[in-house]
Amino acid sequence: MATRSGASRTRTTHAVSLSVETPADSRGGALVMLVIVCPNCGPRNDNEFNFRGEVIPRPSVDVDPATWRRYLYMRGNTSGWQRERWFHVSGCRRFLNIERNNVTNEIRMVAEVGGDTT
Amino acid sequence: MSRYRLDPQPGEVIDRSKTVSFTWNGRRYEGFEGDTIASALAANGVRVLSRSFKYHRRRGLLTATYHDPNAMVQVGDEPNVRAAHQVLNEGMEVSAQNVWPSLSLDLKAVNQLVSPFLSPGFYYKTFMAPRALWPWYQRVLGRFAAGGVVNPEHHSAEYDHRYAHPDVLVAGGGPAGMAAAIAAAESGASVILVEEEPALGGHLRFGDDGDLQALANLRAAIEAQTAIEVMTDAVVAGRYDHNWVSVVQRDMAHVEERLVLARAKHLVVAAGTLERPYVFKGNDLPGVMLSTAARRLTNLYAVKPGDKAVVLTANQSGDAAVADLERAGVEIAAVLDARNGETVVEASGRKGVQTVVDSSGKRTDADLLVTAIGWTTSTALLNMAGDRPVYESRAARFLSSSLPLNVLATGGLVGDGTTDQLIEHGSAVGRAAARRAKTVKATWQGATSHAAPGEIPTLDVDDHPELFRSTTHGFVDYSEDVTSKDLLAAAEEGYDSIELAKRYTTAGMGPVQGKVEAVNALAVHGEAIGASLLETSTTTWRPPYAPIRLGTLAGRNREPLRHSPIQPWHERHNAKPLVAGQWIRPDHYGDPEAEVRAVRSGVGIIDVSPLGKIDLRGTDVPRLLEFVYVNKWSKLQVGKVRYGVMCAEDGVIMDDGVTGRLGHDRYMMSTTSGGAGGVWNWLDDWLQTSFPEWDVKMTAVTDGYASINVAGPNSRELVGRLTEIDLDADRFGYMEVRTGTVAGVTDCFLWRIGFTGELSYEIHVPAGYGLWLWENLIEFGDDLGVTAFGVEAQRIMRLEKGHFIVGQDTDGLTQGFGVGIDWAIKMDKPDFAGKPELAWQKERGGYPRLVAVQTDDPTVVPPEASQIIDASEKIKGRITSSRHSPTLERSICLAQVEEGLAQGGQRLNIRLPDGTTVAATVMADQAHFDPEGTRLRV
Repeated sequence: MATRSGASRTRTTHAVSLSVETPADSRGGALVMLVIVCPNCGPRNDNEFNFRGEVIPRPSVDVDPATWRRYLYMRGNTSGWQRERWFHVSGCRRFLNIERNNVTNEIRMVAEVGGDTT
Repeated sequence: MSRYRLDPQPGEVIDRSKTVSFTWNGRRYEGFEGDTIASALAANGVRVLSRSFKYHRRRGLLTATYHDPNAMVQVGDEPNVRAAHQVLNEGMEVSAQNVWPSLSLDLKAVNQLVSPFLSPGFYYKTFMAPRALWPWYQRVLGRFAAGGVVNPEHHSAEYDHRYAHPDVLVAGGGPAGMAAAIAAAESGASVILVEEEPALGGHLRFGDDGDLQALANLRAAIEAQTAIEVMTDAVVAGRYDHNWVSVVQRDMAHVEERLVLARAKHLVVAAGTLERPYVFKGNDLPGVMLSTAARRLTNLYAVKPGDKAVVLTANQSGDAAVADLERAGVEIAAVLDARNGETVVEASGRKGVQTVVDSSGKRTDADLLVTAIGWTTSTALLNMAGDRPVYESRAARFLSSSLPLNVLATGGLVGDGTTDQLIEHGSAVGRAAARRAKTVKATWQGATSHAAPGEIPTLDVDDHPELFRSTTHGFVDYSEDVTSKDLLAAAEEGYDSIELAKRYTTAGMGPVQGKVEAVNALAVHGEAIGASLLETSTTTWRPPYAPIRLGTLAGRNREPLRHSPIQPWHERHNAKPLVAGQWIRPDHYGDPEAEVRAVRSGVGIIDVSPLGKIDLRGTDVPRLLEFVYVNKWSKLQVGKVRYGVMCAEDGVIMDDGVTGRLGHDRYMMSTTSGGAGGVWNWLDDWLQTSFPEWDVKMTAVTDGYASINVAGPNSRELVGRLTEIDLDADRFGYMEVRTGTVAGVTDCFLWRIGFTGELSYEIHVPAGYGLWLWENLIEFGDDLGVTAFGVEAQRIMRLEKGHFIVGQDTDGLTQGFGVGIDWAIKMDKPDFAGKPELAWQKERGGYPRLVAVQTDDPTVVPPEASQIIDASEKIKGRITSSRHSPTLERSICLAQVEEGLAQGGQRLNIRLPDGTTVAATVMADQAHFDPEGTRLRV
């Protein structure tokens, strides 16, 4: 939220920023961090997890190239609630399905991938 | 004692029994313990602390806080020290920055004379052309740039990180913040209370007797609360998602700075207000200061800020300053009450204020001009939490408007009030914060119910006149020397958005980062484009709120290093270390080519412990292997190993290695050293998300085994001296695995493979016995001339054999069929990772091939990444690996070339880095040496 300017405000004619422009980068895991409540390990910082992105089902191997490449490269890039996969690589090493609002970073569901083939 | 040091003041923070001596520009001065550098200088009558950025104008104290734009000094090796914040220490060597030759005679002040030319955009416009002069411009302008001197010899200090998990974090230790911390703790919350100044109290510290009494009560209550951790001289630098709050603790006893990373279940922002300067002609002269600055000097440090004062007041702070100055013996020459429409038009004087002109035209002689014209709300943390503060014209400042459920604001961010009213509001906010923190905790423990957020009382706002600029022009941004005239000119030139005007004029881009000047810049800009502050909306503050040293962000070096258990032997034998990811490996022990000759003619041993090793058990392991490798595994017999290549779903080669069947349901997979973690995760991904019904149990055992490859014609003889395992060529053949005891160590497994191209046994021994086995091999192989060899010798030998290395001879686009392993890719398998892409690759053709290449001149070793070009100099490929081969006594290469150039006998031209070209030929076989593999199968 802190990275967005005031431009969306309806009365705004001039969004203003008189401070440092770039928020601290999350590379190295220092500053931008979510809490993910792992069903096995409890509340943990997101740098324990590996983000795997949207859940994309794997098509059958005899599909046409266009379909396969949609699976490889195309993402919905939703603004809002998204079902995504995280891997608790530095914790219980379980793959998790998470419902996260990628605008507000609110997380409303975390569950182990339970035998679904998606 | 200096005539500027007052008699003891009720709220003073100095200890008069302890004198501290220091130097300022080489001259010795004395202050008291508790003084800041600036207050000690003021007590000695020093009024000029710096020269300004562009015009080199004399500057003195303005805010007398950390954020004072005029009070940055050099202390010893350290530039840009905030003199009005840094507490004085014995022996400090303090000097002015950005002056030449000295603070009192600064020749660069000639810039003032040319100030009409230093208008906004001056540098952009003037130093554009000619381009050839840019380096010269840079050199000359660099000399005029502000800032202190960095000593490259300065020792690198320690910086710490700490993780904290408070229920409630309170940012700001004024009355409202202190009350919030107390109330939250009384409600059962663990609390961290952060205050930027060296002591709690906010404006109460330099207030009247009533304020001091209230402060004493609050401090006593905090002392009594063990649940509150107080961090003074610390600042909340940022607030991120899910209340991830970074706090910088400055000037620690054993570390320079510490970064506290706090996951606060609830955040209370009580950052208060900063006093705002007034824009008029001469508003930057030494002797012009804010009412809070004058009150800090007199009440905290017992320093008389001047002899004769004019005070411009629009509020209680100005009124209180009048009283304080009178008590301090300063003659009050005039009080201008802005609430009655009186104001200041100009201050003038040579080295500081001498004359003040008011709005009635009256001139008053004074050496001190104190202004109290309003406040800037410290909204940075609110912005970071998603708030969009709204300008309230009645209060002449921005106020908080909306916050997420885990953040609350109190104090000056929401309104005004008496000390009691501020405390009452802070307490209510603290109780609510504790309540909400409990809800967050419950949610983390699995509860789903959301308690109601609860009502927060409001705080009224006081009426305050709106004052930004007088009828004259003056400085808006003191750090960057930007005047109100500059901002008007920028608007005139078309920079009609503050975002653009800011970058054009650099207002708000100096070290103070807008805290002092942002609202004045907005107001003046709004004046130019005919918009009120209400219309220009709010400022958006981004982290960090205050400067953080790079060392603080980095913390201590925590880069993990991995060593094999055989490392002590390598170090004793002067192995040249090779950094391979986290692993430190022996590159060679002096002469890699001699190591190669020793292996090819006798026997050598190499430590390959970093090889990835994954133990796989269960009835469905063959199905997993069939899926992740491109080749077939279902018929692998017990005792056999097989080489496999893994492709990602886009058909690109991701890893290779051998996997062996150690028992009926027991397999051991090896991966490349660098790919060990990635392959482990890759297998887990498929097993958990796609094939959870499969019976596969997986354990990463890379560190569990030390691995030693014994290679060379005499390897069978050497290994045979240490094990009962039958090594007979007919009974333990090439590409087979055996388990058993080696050098007395049980639970070893050996596979007979040949990355080097020689007869070789790779012995995997429980890691604790790695060094033991290595030393046994050295001892028992003494008469065989056993030689330790490193990664370099191994690389030469594998290149002689034409074995590719994933990531060296392949790249991010190399799909399975590009490396000469067509025999291994089994398209008749129903499914495996990457299968469709490999099918299309084969069908499509036209992809680069990996081939062995030899130069005509055997002495030329084309460097890796040399380009392969055709007659018209078009790039047709590149050298991926190259070495001098001690076995063949000539240069050898692997190369990726276009399909049409991949046939044996094809002539090539290789472009060397020096621009010359060397002719070469593609070899018929990928192996330069022993293509039939006869040496492996003895």
